[in-house]
Amino acid sequence: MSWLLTFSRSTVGAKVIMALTGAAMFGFLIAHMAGNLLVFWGAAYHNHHALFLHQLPELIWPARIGLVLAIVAHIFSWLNLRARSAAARPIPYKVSKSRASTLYSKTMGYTGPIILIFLVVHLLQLTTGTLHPNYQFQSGGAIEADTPAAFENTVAILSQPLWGIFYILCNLLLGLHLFHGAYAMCRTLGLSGDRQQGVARALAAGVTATIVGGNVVIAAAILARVVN
Amino acid sequence: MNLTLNVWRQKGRTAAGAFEKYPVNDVSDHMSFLEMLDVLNEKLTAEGKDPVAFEHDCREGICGSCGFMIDGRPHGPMPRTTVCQLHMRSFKDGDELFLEPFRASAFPILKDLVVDRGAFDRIVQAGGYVSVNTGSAPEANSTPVPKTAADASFDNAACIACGACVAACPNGAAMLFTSAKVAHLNLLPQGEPERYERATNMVLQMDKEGFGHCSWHGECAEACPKGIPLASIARMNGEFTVANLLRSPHVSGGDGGG
Repeated sequence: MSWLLTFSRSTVGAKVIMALTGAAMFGFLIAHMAGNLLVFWGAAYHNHHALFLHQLPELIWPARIGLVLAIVAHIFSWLNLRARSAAARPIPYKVSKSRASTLYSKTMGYTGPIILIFLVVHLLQLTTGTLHPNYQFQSGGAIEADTPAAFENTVAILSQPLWGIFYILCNLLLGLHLFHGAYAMCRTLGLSGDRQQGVARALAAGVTATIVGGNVVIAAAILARVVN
Repeated sequence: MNLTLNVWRQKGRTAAGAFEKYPVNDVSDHMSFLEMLDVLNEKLTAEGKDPVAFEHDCREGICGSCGFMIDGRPHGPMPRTTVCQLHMRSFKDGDELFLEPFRASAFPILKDLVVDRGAFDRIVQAGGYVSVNTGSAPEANSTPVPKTAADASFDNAACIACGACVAACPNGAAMLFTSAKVAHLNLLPQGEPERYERATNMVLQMDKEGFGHCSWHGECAEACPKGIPLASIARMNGEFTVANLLRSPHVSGGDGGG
């Protein structure tokens, strides 16, 4: 296993780990957004989707553990790389002008920690119910017993203007991170040749717009009481 | 035209440095940037002062000796240009410029604007070679090279190892340089036998020298006077990953066989 240690400690290997763990999180985000689109079909569909997932512990728990490991590996690789790059230029330039950096690429180190905070808040609100004013573990109107009240809990939070706006803003910041992240992922994994740069950019834009667009539409619809 | 230069002056590797202001008058549009510094240095020498140290050799943009930061950009404001090929017509009368050495912990400052780029030599020593059997000369057509591979290899071989990519990178990374050297040989059949050892050894040597990582800002490729494509880094990542995951790497520290 020494090769794995050497690989993960190298600047290229650590980026590959960030790309692969990022890809896993992209997969989750797409599934999470798609599942939540069921709010537009009403409480019965949304809650039944939650019940369906709860009844699959052999799917849910490996996914949860995998995602936590991915997040930890993503953060540790970043901390390792950031420390090395800070040491690579200890004295900053008096004058520095950029030619190619984008808003997205420059803010990765800030949007990442913001997303982590948002994730913790989100889990405390809608998974554990700790930060929720009236969290329900079971849906009152459901036909089947033990149906989670995913719909009621979500609407109770997002219909509050401050929380609704908070969720939308966090998703827009998530978009900044995802857009550069998806592009960098394609590049890091060596999938992007000269001609494929445009493809990588387009792919990143499409995936980001899908995830963020879906999430924002859900939050905005609940905030505007279109869904209640 | 008349200019004001703020030049980083530092006596030696461990000495403290600082900017010093120099007015330079009656600069011709036709001068190269280095010729303008020559004029300044003649004046400083006549006054009994220490001239500004900067590295230079061919002054044709092909040797890779020159290079420093001009107003926050390696080699100055013109794209695909080395400092020696940068002409004063790119500047305006009354401009105030900041001249700084390339800043990276792997490029220690020797004096003023001169840095030690020996780290690049050690990266090349780690894998930037091909092993050739001595003895009878091979038949000329025995190793056909596809035209596309030859072109891509040549594009990467254009790297003059000036260090502008490291200087421009917000992370102080040498990814573009190392990837150009890896791609230059890995794209050719002559480089095939040592392909994966090359990628592994050169990346590990790059890390050992203390360069940073790639965030895909793309600053390096924009600063490169030779237009090395950013895609070379994607290629190197692929080669390094395949070398590590699918094969057991032979980290030999640059001692090539053959």
